[in-house]
Amino acid sequence: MKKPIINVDNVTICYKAGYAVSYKTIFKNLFKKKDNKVNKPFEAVKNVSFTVQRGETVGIVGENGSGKSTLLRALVGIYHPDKGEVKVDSEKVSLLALGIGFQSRLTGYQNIFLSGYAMGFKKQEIERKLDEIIEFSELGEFIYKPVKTYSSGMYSKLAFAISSTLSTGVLLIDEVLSVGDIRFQRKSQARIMEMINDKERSVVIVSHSDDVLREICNKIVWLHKGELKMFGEANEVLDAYTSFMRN
Amino acid sequence: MRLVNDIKKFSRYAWYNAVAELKAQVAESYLGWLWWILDPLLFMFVYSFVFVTIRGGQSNIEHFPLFVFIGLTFWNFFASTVQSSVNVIRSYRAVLMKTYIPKFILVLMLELVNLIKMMIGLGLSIVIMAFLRIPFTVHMLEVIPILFVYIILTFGMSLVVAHIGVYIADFNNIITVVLRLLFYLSGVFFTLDAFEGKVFFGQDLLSIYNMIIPTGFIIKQFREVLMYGYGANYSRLLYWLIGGIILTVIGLYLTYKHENNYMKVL
Repeated sequence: MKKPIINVDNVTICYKAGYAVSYKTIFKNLFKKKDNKVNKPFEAVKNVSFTVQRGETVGIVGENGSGKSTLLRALVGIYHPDKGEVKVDSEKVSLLALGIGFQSRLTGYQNIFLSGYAMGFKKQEIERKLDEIIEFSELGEFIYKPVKTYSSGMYSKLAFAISSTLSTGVLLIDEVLSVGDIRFQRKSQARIMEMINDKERSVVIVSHSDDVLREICNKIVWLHKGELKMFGEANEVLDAYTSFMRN
Repeated sequence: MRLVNDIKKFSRYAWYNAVAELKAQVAESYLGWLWWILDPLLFMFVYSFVFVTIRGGQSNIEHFPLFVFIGLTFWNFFASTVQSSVNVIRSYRAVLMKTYIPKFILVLMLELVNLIKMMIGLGLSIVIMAFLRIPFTVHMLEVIPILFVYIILTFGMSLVVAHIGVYIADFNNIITVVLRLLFYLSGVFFTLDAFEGKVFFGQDLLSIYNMIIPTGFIIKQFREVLMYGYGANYSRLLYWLIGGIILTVIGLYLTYKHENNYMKVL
């Protein structure tokens, strides 16, 4: 068997506290036993293990709050596992997620470069893809305006254009199958399919859409309350998951 | 080593971000980049006015406006970098939730922004010197080692502050007060002559001062080599260089060790 590109080994991720330290919480914790402390650690992901091979597409399913996004963030390196190990054997990993990742005072054009540099691309590599990104984002003249002037649709179009054009060996997708208006949705879905079908690229995708997952995924990770409930062939896991959710 | 790799990979990000940040500051204001010159100049007038008035129409410091201008230029570099570092990780939350960026890169970015402003101030000081016919000397080149020490020291300090700022949201308030105190202690608009020759527990008071107030000591060094044509105090500079390196190592250690928890706290 080939060496997996992503290896998640017995990973546990805790959220230590919901918010920053205050003297009140320290004072409240002073006389409490370990288990009763305010802000006691919450395990969002518990002892999860799975692997992803090169070129494979793996879906993650689970109820809201089951740790799907937390797991993706661990794969991209934003969170560090409290126990276990995450190994990603690729220099460039990108996370395609809803929400902003831009600096609002800077222009869309500047943010393309910033995102590219943050992903580890060189200037020439970004410049080569620049026209394609701008064209795909459909922003026109707005690309030279500060991002804070954008509508939410424009935001996500630009974000999608950047992370899908600057291609990386590992692509993580967090629920972004419906970006922008219907026309852009069709366009972006075609782009996602194109990326998924690339034999060199490994994709991990979080989605609630059963049809989409069945169509594109080789394997499925099913998380339930942070624990790994099932990991295996897509149809098999999805059948089990759907019948579980119906009850 | 991880640090070298990260610098290689992300220094472009820090540089591009710093320049973009400066451009945004220019684009958002009416007078644009003129503020980089106007700001220290206006404060120079304010302090000169206030102190000359208080002292009854005269100041015993020669070229007092230039004296204040140099003080402010170099003080602002330190103060702005440290102050904005407190909340830098918090304010980059949206970006950091989508990609991994080593946290020291953000501090480096802030320092670059303020470094560019400080270099403009330095250039302006030299123009004012020419205007006041203050002779240029070879000692002016000693600005370079002083800058080097100052940059390292500010970086180390800012890193540590950035780390604490993540966990303690109101650390900003504390830093504001500490910086204000340091501002008054740093001799931005007065000389340290009062300390000279005074003895405190068998030690020269000025020497003690130079060992505990880095900003005051370094601002004085800049004035010595620029305005007065003296050389810098290298033994004490080395002392602060080592201090700066120690702070940098501590800061890097803290931010690397805890950076993956930052995002869970914020």
